[in-house]
Amino acid sequence: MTRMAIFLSRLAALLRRRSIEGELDDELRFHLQMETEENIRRGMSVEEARYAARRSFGGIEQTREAWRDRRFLPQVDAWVRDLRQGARMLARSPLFTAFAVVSLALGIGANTAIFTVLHALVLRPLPYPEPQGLMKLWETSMWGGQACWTPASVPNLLDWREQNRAFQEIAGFTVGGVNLAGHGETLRVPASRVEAQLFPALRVRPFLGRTILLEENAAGRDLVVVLSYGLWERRFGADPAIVGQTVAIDGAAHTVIGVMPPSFQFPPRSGVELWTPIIFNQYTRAARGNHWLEVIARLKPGVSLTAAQQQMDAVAHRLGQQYPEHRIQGLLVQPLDGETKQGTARVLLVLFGAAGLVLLLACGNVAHLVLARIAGRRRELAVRIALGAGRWGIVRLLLTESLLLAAAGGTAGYFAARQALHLLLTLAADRLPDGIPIQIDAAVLGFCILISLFSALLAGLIPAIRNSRIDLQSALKDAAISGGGALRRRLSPLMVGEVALALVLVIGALLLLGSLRNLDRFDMGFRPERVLTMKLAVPETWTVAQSTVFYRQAIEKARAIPGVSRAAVINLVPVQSSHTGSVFTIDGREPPPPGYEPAAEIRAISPEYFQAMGIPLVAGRSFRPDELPDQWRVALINRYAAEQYFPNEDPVGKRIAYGTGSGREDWRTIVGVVGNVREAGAQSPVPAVIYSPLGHPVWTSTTMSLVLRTSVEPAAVTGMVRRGMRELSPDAAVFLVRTMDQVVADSAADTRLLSGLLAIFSAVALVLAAVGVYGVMSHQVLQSTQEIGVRMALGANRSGMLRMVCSRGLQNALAGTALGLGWATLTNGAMQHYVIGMKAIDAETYLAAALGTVAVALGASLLPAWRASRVDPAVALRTE
Amino acid sequence: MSTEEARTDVLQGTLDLLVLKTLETMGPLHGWGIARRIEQVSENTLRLNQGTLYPALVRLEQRGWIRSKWGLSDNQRRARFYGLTAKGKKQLALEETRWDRMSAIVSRVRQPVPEGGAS
Repeated sequence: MTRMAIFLSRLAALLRRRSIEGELDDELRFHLQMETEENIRRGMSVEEARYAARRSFGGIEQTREAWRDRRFLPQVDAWVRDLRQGARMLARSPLFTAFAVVSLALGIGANTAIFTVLHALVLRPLPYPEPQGLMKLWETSMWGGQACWTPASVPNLLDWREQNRAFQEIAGFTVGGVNLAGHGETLRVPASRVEAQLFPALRVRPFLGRTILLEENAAGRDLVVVLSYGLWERRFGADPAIVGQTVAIDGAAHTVIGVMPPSFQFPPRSGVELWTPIIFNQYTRAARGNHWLEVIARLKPGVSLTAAQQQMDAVAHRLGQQYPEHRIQGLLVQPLDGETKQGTARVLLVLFGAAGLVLLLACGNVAHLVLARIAGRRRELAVRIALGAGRWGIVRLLLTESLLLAAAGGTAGYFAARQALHLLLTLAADRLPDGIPIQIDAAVLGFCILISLFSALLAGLIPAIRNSRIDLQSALKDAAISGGGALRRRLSPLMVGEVALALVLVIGALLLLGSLRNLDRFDMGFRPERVLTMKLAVPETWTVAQSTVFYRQAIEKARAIPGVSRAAVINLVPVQSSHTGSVFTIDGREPPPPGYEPAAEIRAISPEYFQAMGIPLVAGRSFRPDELPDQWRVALINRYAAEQYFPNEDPVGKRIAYGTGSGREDWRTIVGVVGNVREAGAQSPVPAVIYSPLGHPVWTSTTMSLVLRTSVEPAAVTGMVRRGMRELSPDAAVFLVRTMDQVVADSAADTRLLSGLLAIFSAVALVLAAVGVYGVMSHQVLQSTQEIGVRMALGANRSGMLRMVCSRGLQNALAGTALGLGWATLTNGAMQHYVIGMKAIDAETYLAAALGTVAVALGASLLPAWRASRVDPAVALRTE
Repeated sequence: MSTEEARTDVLQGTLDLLVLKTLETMGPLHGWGIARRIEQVSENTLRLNQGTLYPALVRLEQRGWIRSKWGLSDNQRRARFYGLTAKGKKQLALEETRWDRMSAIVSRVRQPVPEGGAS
């Protein structure tokens, strides 16, 4: 305790050092005056008295020094001395210092920028009180022979809520969009329909008004809506009297009952702007097999995830026995936090890995530069040791230098990070969720400081430890021949490591750039050029018949526009997703065991869809314009479904029915087979697909995509189509207007983002590695000047020296390449998710990257080699 | 702890005792006053290197045994006065006991060797 207090008082004293030292001076002056006067009183002369006073006092400077050591912290003084000296040394070689600082700044900046995003999107806890208690509940079932999770059905949700003892609240919700009527155009707004229990489960109170009441989830009540703070501000001018007013949503008047606080998001990271009560009608309350509800739940205090899972397993088991026809398999409890950020985390971890490699490279370079400079200072260090500097003193001196470098690099890196973050946010704009601030805060600053310190340790400790034991004898006496034979030494670990690091990054960048190139040539199964798509959304209150009429009108209207050659609608355009499916039954087959029924994606389309999208018809015929599902029970399947479920037979003419069960009446006849389409993008396999005519009650949704093939550039007709669609109904919304080329490009958004950033990283890495190789080789040549001189004096020729140094560089580069190839093979599997049209371990790419990296390394050793060949034996042997 | 520190500790301990004892008998004194008093009491046999007093004073103050204040000296000059704290009084008692015990031991060791002495 006392020790601590003394330390603190000494530390505090440092801050007032000047005034405290002034006080000591006053005190000493007073002392000497008193003593002098006393001496005079004893009869000495003034001169004598002053002299005697000084003598009896002892050394004034020593006193001051001893006093300072007690009063302040002498370690700090020593450290300040080290710092000053380190700074002097660094200032003496500005080029070295500048390079070290810039490479550290690049590494630290990149890592800090990516950490900022990682922190904001992944590491930060969900913005609700006690977020670790929030869970997501899924039904698990077998689908086409594979286990998968599905959303819940209403009866199951109600049973869970009634039967569980693990959760305080369980709330179902759906996420979609609504049409918000406004000035002029009807806006499409991301929206969520929720049960009243949601807000208590999240433990969030509204900013204005109230949230949804339990009775508002029942049919027949007044329609109400809760707004997000952002929407309230933007759309309603932050009107404080908004509660009680009505707004038109999907063409119906809703009363605003509340506004949520600014920080509120639900679902997390989704950008949803308004919440309306979800209403369960008689039909949905009975449909146990209709899985459409996402479910969130709040654990009771003290209940663990495992305990909750066990309890819910029991509940699911009971329900499974009670309703065997629904084949309820189980129930999955999953932390809400983990569920919401998998994709983002994966991209960021790849980026973080890459940035980490760049930082390692930078540290390696700085370590080498420090090492090389130490070699030039061996004598200085030896003298220091001879004069009594301990091992720790030398380590401290060298660490201080690298600490200074890292501090400068970290500061520059911080500013670089701000720029890099800006660039990153621009590049990734469409990949980032709205409404989540991504900025440099205290945690990021802490991270920046931490990795700066880490860099200092890494770059300073290796040389410090390697050099704290210098052989004094040889260093002092034989400085002239020390370092001889450097060129014959074994591989340089730094050089090998740097080449390997750079190669890993180059391979990553080449894989992704190659993927983007592949994407342009990749056959998605349709012809994306000159195809315009946009989403049409009708109010959810519309019946399927109403919606179908609207979509047909939309198709007619669009087709009439000059420049549009084909027009159609589909519930989901390709390459975006593949999660709207059903199991089905094939007429005349033995029903397979539960969980192994045939399954397929279902697409509802209008007849001209295949021509509009450019999908080839493989067999049979397409739909006819007059085919309505209730009149003509027909379907088309894709080639994959044909091969999968009708091997060695002609599917055309076979009958299928959606769902399972015996004694089916609703058979649909397969009339044709069409080509495969990459429904979920180039990286995902082609699923089985069944096409159903527009108008099917389940697959005709309230949002459909209009697909137009144009004879002119799509941009030329966009405005006209939009206007045309808007004129059809004031209650419908038109949004997300894109060409299929854009849709395809967006499907590889992660690959594009990563490829851009990895290209930058790998370029930086190559430069750093080249400088590293250049540094190591120059250093070795410099150290071997004498040896080279001797060889030349003995008859070696210049080109021989050139070859010798180059082959040293090549040996190191090849060793590094081997290491890098192995490394990439082990780690690049993590990138398979972003690689298109090839494997993440692609021989061609690896070879190209290896050749390029070796070429760079060899190029970097050329200049040192040339220098070696220019050594003048006479000069080399005469000088030291 | 190294032996060197142990040795300085003994020396400092002596000085500590002298300073604390002086302050107990004299009340608050400035640095010069303390040095003067120690020399007077020892009838000028103890030649104190006056400068060593000041680091010692810092140490005693940091331990909380003495407290310092700027004030005016007898001849109306600004001087820093050191005074004993309660904690210092306790410490002094402790030091005195230790010193007594120490000198007792030293005397006992010396007695059986009347001639010669410690060379």
